[in-house]
Amino acid sequence: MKLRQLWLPAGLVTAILVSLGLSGMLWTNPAHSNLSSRTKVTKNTDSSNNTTFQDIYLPAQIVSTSKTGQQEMLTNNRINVASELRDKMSRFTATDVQEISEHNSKKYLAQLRQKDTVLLNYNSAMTVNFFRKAFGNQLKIPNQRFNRVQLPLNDPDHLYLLNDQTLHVVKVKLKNNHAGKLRHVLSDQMVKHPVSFMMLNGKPVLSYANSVKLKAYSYQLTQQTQSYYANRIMTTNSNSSMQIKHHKNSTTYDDHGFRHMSVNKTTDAVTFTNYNSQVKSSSFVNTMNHIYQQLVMVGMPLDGMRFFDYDTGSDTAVFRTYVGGLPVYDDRGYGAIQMKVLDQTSYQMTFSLDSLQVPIPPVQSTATVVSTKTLMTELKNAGVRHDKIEDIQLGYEWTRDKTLEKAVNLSPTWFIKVDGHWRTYQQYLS
Amino acid sequence: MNFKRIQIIFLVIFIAMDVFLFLLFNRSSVGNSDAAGNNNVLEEMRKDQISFSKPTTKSHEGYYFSADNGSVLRQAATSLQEQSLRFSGTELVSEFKKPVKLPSGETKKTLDKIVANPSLIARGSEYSYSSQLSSDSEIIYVQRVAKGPVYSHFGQIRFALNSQKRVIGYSQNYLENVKLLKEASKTISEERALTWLYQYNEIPNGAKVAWSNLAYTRLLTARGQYVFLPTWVFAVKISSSSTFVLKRVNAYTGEVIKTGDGNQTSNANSEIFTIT
Repeated sequence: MKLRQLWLPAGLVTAILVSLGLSGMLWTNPAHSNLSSRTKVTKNTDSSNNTTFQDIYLPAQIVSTSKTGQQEMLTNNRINVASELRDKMSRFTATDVQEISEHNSKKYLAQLRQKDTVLLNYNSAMTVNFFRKAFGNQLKIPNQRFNRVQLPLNDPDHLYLLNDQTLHVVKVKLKNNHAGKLRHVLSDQMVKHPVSFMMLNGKPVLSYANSVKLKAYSYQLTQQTQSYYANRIMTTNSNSSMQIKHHKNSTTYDDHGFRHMSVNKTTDAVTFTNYNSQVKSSSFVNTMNHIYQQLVMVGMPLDGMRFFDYDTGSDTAVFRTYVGGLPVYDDRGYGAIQMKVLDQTSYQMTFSLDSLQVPIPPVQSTATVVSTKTLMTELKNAGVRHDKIEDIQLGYEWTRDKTLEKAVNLSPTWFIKVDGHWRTYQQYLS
Repeated sequence: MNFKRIQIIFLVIFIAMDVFLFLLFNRSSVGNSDAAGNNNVLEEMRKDQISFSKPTTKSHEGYYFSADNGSVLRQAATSLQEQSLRFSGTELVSEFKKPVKLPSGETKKTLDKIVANPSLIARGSEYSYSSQLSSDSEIIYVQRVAKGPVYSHFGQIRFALNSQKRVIGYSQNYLENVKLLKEASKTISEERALTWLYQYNEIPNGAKVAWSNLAYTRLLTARGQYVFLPTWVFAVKISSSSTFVLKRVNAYTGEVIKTGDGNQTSNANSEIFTIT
């Protein structure tokens, strides 16, 4: 009799609890709020994008220093050294920070030359939050700027963050780092070029004591059509009254609202301006993530495309095609994507319809580039003032093949940055 | 109304609500991950009566490489025995003096021994048996280059069988001067490749996807060299026909590689060939 009296309230209480539990799970389950992602799926499948945030923001350059102090720039014909290293260093957590030196170029250079280390370099300053996202680690230390990460191979409990601009060195105490794994990556057969660090107008740059023999590359030019981009990025407006104007040298697309695109007919350069693109916050990592998402949205091929640098003065991020661990430069903008953040809601993106997707056998397999010393004397003889030179880097020059249609030859050479522009050193000599 | 009745009404309402919430919960957890999109497509394919085994979602690594059919085979051919051979271009065409008997069930074992013997097959150690490409009238060994099999006649040994299932001879192509053109890069998963192939209308309703494999396919010829890239190769059997058609998806970009009419075996420049 008692039981019969009890089952009703007990059943009611369980039913209420179950419904509470279920609704709680529904509210907290991100899948529920993500139901709209089903419509996104179709968009996902037509973009052939295989490049993740982590892939595009890999460090630009890897330098290893041996136990005897010999420094080498590392590339590899078989694997991507930067991504292999990144995958091996994703586990560590940080506990403590210690400042080592500041504003002292001698000490800074000594730190760069530290024996038995591997150095991951970016061309412009990063933040800790960015580094955490790009490498998937748990570095929870005060946010600060740096452009080089140094990992001592004989001391797995520390790493150093270095900033070229302020000559600031920070020592970070690590947990869960496995130097053995890094050594394993580095023990793979690498292409090694002996280098050393030198100061160039207050900035450390890599100097090559001997002339450098580098692989030459050839690619088949992949050309995307204007209408591909027009359909992808200009037809999002619901009233979809896109206006197309054909000019002598260019075609412009306008959606009477927030988006504008113009394509130069002779250079294939596309300029896309978006006035309706809200950035959540202006922190570095957020800006970079926003830029990455916009690149994916526009849908240009991102294979081999990597972050080159970010100029805080003009708020411009540059991405370049990387081949064999070195960037491709071109004055007309081939092989690069430029993204200028105009303000919190708008940006301007410049890229090319042409891209390098399919490598083909090069005419010559290697080419030789002069040593840094020769380069500097030649520049001096040509009348380039030493204090005008902002940066020097090895890279590949983009030239169209004269005989083979739609083929681009990439030949290694020195690139010199003067007044914010990268040019080949041959251009300065003539 | 007494309290007991109110309790019963509440109980019924709450149980109904539980059922509703449970259904909702079940449904929303389906559309959770990124793979959901592909799963929907796979379901759509099943509805179109396309049969296939569940594709993997793993990403692999592959290379672009260049190679050619040069003179290595010609040089090695001088030391080959027990066969009469000739060259058709760079292809070695050979006939065994005595047809080789293949005991049933030991096809692979018997041929592996022959292929491994340098006095019978030149450079045989670089080839491996492909059950996928082989058929009743032809056994195919594929060359392995850059950690993957070459599904292209530019790097294969094809053993011809007569009506008594004896190997009468073979033709061989050998890829040499292999040069990696780019460091290893990630490929798309088999699942993505299959769903793309379907979305490009390359798999008709009622077809059967017999097998799939990540293998190298020739993309183009430049400067006298063949350029290969990793592709997902699917063997599609259309319900009305008895032959398989090989469909190839660029494993980097997901594009379907079109090589003309898929049903012609004599397509000289084509990578698509049929097997019965």
